[in-house]
Amino acid sequence: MSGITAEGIVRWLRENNPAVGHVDPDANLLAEGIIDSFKFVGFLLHLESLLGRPIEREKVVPESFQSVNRILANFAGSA
Amino acid sequence: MPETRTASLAAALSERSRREFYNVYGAFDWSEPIPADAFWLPQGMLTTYGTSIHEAAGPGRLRELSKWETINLFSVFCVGEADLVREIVQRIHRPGLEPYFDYFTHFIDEENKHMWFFKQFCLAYAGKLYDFKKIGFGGEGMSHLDDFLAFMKVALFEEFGDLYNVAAIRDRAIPEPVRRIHRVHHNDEVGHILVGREIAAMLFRDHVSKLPPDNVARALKYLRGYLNWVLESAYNPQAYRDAGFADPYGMRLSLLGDAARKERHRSMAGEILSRYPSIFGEPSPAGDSHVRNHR
Repeated sequence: MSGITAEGIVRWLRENNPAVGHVDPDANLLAEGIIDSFKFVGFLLHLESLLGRPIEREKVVPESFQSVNRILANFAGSA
Repeated sequence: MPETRTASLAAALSERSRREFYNVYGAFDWSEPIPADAFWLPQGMLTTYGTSIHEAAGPGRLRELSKWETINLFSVFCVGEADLVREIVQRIHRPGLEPYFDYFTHFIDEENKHMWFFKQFCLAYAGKLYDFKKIGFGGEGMSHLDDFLAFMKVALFEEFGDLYNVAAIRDRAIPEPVRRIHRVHHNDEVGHILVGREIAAMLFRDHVSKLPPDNVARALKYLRGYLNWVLESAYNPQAYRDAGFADPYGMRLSLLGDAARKERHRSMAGEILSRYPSIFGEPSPAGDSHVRNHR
């Protein structure tokens, strides 16, 4: 079981972007500017640390990280 | 739009590139050994420098780290320079940039060589490069500033790389195969950086500075974010793991949050941005932050 949870994702987003308030689990994180391309590397490494392994390159596409729910669906059960 | 001074500099550097043209495929001997007890990077350039992690690590572990952080740095260069080449290729025939066509072709040739020799070095001395995963988010909503942002990113990335070049070249304890690659890189980058500063300043003065202040502030914030992203690329958990450190992901977070490292980042960013006074303003008296000129 991975340590990736909705609460953990939102906590990271808030810690790394003080402007982030409530995050709808289906909100588009990229389009709404909740995370930008520069912060994304840190976010990816954070997810990898929770998973305990690198995320496969083919999964590193915008669609995989579009929302909190999409991230959970793609990675939360894959440790 | 092209400025005589900038175009003249680009022409002079094109002439220099022709005069100093080299065959990269015969310029290095990848069988030349690197002594096992040598540091590959000056200790001051390691991402642990100034922290308790650095103090706690023995010399052997730090030497290993210097090897893997060099491999990381050269891997970053490979990926980053591919991005730079892409930006220049997209603009090489752009109306208004005709005076720089010759220079751009040399830039592409030289960056192509850099990618080749950095990759060959990594494969010869470490058997691998590090993989960097990133995604583009489809524009940052500043398409009207594309040219300025592109040339600034090229310039900032090259300034970052050259900080390491210069530090390694100055440190005579660094093994010759490592210093040589930094020296060759530096020799080309000096020209790219000079022209990059001029083109960026020209685009800022002629276009960006005439935009509403909010747009300018947004562009500069974006570029500061880019520079921070480049600086943070030095902190690679894969390198920490290869150097034998436990909890490499936690180590990255710990280092990025360390006061000494934050100060080092401010210093490096300040040093780089101070070379663009007409864009980022003159350095503050503290020397590490910049105040925009409002003229």
